Amino acid sequence: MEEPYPNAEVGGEKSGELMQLVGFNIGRELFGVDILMVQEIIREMPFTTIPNSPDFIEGVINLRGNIIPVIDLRRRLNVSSEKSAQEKVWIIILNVNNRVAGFIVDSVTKVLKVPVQGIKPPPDIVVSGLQSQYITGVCRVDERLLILLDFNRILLVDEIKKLRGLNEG
Amino acid sequence: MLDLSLLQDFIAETAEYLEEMEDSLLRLETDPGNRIILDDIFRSVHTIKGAAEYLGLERTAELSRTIENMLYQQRRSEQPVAQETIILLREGRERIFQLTDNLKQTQTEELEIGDLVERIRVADTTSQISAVAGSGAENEDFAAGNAGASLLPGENAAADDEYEDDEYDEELFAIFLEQMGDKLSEIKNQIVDLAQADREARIAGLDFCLNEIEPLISSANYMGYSRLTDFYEKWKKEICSIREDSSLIEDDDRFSNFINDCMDANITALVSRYPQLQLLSADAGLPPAEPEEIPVTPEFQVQELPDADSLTTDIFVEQDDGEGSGDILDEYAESSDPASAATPDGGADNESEANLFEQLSWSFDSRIKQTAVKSPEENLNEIEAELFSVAAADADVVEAGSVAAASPEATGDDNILSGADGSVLTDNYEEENDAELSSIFQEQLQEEIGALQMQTSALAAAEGNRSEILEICIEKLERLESAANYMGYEQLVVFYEKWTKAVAAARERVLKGDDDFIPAFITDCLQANVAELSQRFPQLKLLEPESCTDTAVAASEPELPKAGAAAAPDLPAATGVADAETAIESPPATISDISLLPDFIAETREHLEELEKNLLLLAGDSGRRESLDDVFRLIHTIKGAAEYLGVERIAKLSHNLENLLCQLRQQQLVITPEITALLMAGWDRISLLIENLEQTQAESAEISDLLERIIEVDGSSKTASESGSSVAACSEPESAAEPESAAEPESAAEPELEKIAAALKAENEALLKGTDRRPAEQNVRRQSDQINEKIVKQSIRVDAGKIDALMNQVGELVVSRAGFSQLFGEMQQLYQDLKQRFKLDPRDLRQLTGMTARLNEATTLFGKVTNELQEEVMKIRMLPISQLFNRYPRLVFDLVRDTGKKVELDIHGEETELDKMVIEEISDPLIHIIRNAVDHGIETPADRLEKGKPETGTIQLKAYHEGNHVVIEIMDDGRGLDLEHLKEKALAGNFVSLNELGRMSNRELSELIMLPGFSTATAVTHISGRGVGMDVVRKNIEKLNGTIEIESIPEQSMRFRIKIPLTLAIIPALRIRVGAELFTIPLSTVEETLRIFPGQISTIEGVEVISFRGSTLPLVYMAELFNLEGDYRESLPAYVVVVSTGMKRIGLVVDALLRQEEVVVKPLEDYLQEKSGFSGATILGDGKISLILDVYELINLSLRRQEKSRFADGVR
Repeated sequence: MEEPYPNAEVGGEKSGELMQLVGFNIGRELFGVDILMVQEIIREMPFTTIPNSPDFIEGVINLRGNIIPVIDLRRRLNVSSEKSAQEKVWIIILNVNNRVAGFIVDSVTKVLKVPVQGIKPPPDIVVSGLQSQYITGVCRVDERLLILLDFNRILLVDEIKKLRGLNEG
Repeated sequence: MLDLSLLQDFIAETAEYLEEMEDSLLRLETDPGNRIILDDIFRSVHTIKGAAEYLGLERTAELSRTIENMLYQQRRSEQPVAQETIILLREGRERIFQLTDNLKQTQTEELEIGDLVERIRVADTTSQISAVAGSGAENEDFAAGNAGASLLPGENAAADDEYEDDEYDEELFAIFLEQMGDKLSEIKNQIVDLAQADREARIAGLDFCLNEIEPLISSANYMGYSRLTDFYEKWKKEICSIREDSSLIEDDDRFSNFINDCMDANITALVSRYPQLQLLSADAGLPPAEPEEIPVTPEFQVQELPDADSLTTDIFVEQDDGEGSGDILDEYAESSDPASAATPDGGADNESEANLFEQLSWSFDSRIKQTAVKSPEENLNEIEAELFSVAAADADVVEAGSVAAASPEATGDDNILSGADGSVLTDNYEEENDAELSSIFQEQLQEEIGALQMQTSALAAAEGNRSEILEICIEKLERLESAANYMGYEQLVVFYEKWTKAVAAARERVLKGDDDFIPAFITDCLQANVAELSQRFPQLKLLEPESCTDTAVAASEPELPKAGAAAAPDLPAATGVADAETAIESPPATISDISLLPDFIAETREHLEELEKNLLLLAGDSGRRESLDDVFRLIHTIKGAAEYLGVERIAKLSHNLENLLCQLRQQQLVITPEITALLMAGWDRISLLIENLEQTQAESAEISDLLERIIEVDGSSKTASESGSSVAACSEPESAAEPESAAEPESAAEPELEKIAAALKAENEALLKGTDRRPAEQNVRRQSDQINEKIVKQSIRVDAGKIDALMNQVGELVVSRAGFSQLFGEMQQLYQDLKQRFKLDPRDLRQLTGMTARLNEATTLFGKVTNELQEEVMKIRMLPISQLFNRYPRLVFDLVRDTGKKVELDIHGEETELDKMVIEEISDPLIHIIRNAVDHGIETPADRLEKGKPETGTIQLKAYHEGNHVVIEIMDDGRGLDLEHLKEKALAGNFVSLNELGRMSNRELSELIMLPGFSTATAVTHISGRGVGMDVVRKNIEKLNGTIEIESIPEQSMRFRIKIPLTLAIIPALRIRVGAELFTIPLSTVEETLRIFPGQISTIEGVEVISFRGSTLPLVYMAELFNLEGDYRESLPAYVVVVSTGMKRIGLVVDALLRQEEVVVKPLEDYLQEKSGFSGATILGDGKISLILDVYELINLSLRRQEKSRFADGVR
């Protein structure tokens, strides 16, 4: 929202199918998530930490009576860029297959329209420390690389449990 | 197919009427003699019928029509409404309600009504018969004779069952016919209008016809009637070609020719081919040129003559294919109307191919036309001339027939009988069915005609309102017509139709104030027709108003064959339907509508639950007719639903079970343990299949083995019953059929009949006496049933998720209530501050004071409402524990069957309510405990007697409230625990030290069995052996924040006491603080809170412990456990919360104890909750979250930690 991005390079009228994305920044990286998954975007609010939980689980928040876990995407994805200088961060509340979770990001862009054809499979190389297993695709937006994240994978229960096991061990 | 908006209205309206009806029924029950109430009900049903007919909702219409008829009878009779009738009414109402429900959900009527309609009909005639029997002694003979097998409820059921066996087919075929009838009537109506319409309208009309024919084609196709399909196709083509030909359309004459030649002829052909077909508005089919049709009665009778003739033709034809098997329908079509083979080529050249039937039907129309319009047209005259020749011949035949003896028809009759005999041999069942049917049919006929005659005499005497009387007559006739229709007596249908029309016309005239013609009308039309009928059906003993009853019974001989032969027309229908059945059964198991499946599963579960109850009753008291009926009904319902959905195996299985039950109901089988076991097995299998369905949407469990067993039992019973002859046998259709078909046509049938009648009467009377006592107790039970039904009806099935969401919102409200309280506190603080610090004058602060007070008030009110709301929502989730308890009788039954023990399950307090979730969670633990009690607790009868206990052991299940908890007690009077052996085992397994054992109380010893891993292997079999899996039981209960206690008196009893919170959603809890974090501990796990001082703590093996009530209590520092910054070390004395889960007990060291309060539990995401030591979270008054401790996990967690550190120490 702070940084206005013009629409993706292809006008969209020709290519027909457009995908609407919510873009967000973590460090210097630009990520995107399908707008249909986004339930809401809130400013940072106090969370209750959960003892003995994996370090990327920031805690839980009370969102109008629902208790929602908040995951620090930077830690979850091991994005190797330094924390932004901004004081306040944003929490994107996503509904991933009926599981609601909040994700902490540095800033949020306005809605981006990306042609479906413009989305390429993820490169094999690791993008700024990010493992490609969490990436569904990449596309160019304003000369920047936008990374589409696979939140299903990010919220994979087994993986989270395993990570917690590592933590405890 | 239906107009949806109209349908909505219909549904809403019907619901209203049904509600009214329900009301009235209730009142009627208390005041069965009240006519006004009866009239109310009648009106409701009548309205529903009207609307349903208008909308073409066949089943609803038919059902309501049947009910209406019954009500009509009731209205006429002077007697108060019988309880049975009310029950039937109620059931009918329920069925209509369900049908409407079907409509609401799927826009189609799914529910079958055949059974109920039949029951009502039978009951109807029965009641009439008893009414008649009561009033006139003379009629008793007849009543007994004709009512035959149907007098008794049980035997009604027998008749009923016959249909149910076949119902599937008939159902289908009936639907097919009904649809056909509807469409044809529509077309007929349409073409009548067409004759006078202009060009545009004609084209539109033809389009309409095309549209109507379209579904006919598809349904014929569906039924597999290829010839019919061809016929329709041709017809359609013809209409198309006419439609294209604009010159023809414009030309009035040619067009009307076309209509006559093609449309009318085709319809007539169809009607004659499907005698069961009932054109709904056949009278509309008459050219509108005759607005007022004048009944010309002399002619009318003549008209009937050809009728009779064609009936005989029918019979001959039937006889021809009597031996035919296989695709009889086709054959029937071929042979029954050699000339109507013309129909496929349709009206192309109609006249030349006109067959007898067509001519005849044609002649009716033209005749009426002629007489009504009184302006004979030329072509009509021609036809008439033709007809007269035909009719003359016919008349001869019929006359000869009615004179009896050596007439051509009589010889024909001989043939027919032999033909019928042949079919008896080849196809026993069909024949049975028919005989049964026709006896019912005749009963009804008798009643209706009797009623008609009464009306006629009333009319003659000019009592009451004539138009009303005539209306009643019409109703009677309609009923007769539908019965004839049902029986497939085509000619009779036509006869009735004409009759109805005549009466309708007369009524019109009466309405217009013209009364003069009435006497003539009575003699010419009504009486003549009745006479005609009674001639045709000599078995009828009619109430002749002016003459003696006997006259009608004049010539009985020719009728007998008719009764036999009348059975024949049913054959094609039945077999055709059988074909349809196989066609339907053969497609692979595809479930037609997955979306309906969850409903089906839920519903079937409910039925199964009830079924189980009844099965057990049945097993316990093998004579119970009511349980049997209930079982039958439930199985039947399941079958119906399963068939509808195409859930093949369940349908098949339940169908077979139903057959078996049928036998039981007819008392061809006696309920033996084997049969109960079989029924139980069936129950199990259906449950299993349902489970399959739920999990995989497919039925995976095999049923063939069970089917075989059922058929085996079923089959053996059949042969047994055939050889046996008893009173019960006389109720069977076969035997009922026998006297009639066996009666020799040549012999004087009258004495024969009377003999049979007398015999039947005697038996029926005997049976009636036997059953007289029953109604009273039946009523009691039925009433309770009705109450149950009402409860069911008033409940709504709601998705559990919705309730959870509501609960969530209420929880939110509770939280904000706390927020308001806090606000009020702050306001008061502010007030104090202002007053003290700023030294403000109280007067200046008045406004603030007032505000604070008002806020306080508002907050209090808000709190109150919130509390109530919360309570109510909580209640929604509450279910009676009977849901759970009802499963156990079966469990015990099964367990006992294998052991030979005698156990009685005694259930108390099943109405105690409990959160649904809790109910589900404690189901398994309870099963475990009960199984143990039966397996190990209760001794064998011999042992028990030896010990001086009653032979039958008792297991008592008891539930009751205790504060915020529900206590469930399971007690048995078996041998209890062998404590000595327990001690040995405990020592051997190293669970306790000898020292500890010595100090243990009996109760503590008993509770050893719940230690995980406490094995009672090998020795289990000969000692009490409890303890297998008891640790699991305890774990499950503790998960629910519940506790379990064991109390055992050796050789006397064993008692488990389970205490569980009412709900899992809101729990009383203790708030504690550790560092900056607030945690919540469920109060159910808290034993005690302590303050400890440094000196009290000692260290054993690296673990800090304190001495607590004579034992050591390990301490767990919460801050350490959760890696939090705590001030625990410095701030001794510290607070300790003693928590326990049964055997294990630890002291949690916390920084502060805050308060005790009720908290709303909110679940955590599974990945946060599992093994984390938290069971959920709750929201505090200020919106902050507090985690709820999972004490069970916490203890495990701390134990793991301790072990780890011990291990680390050891390594070091």
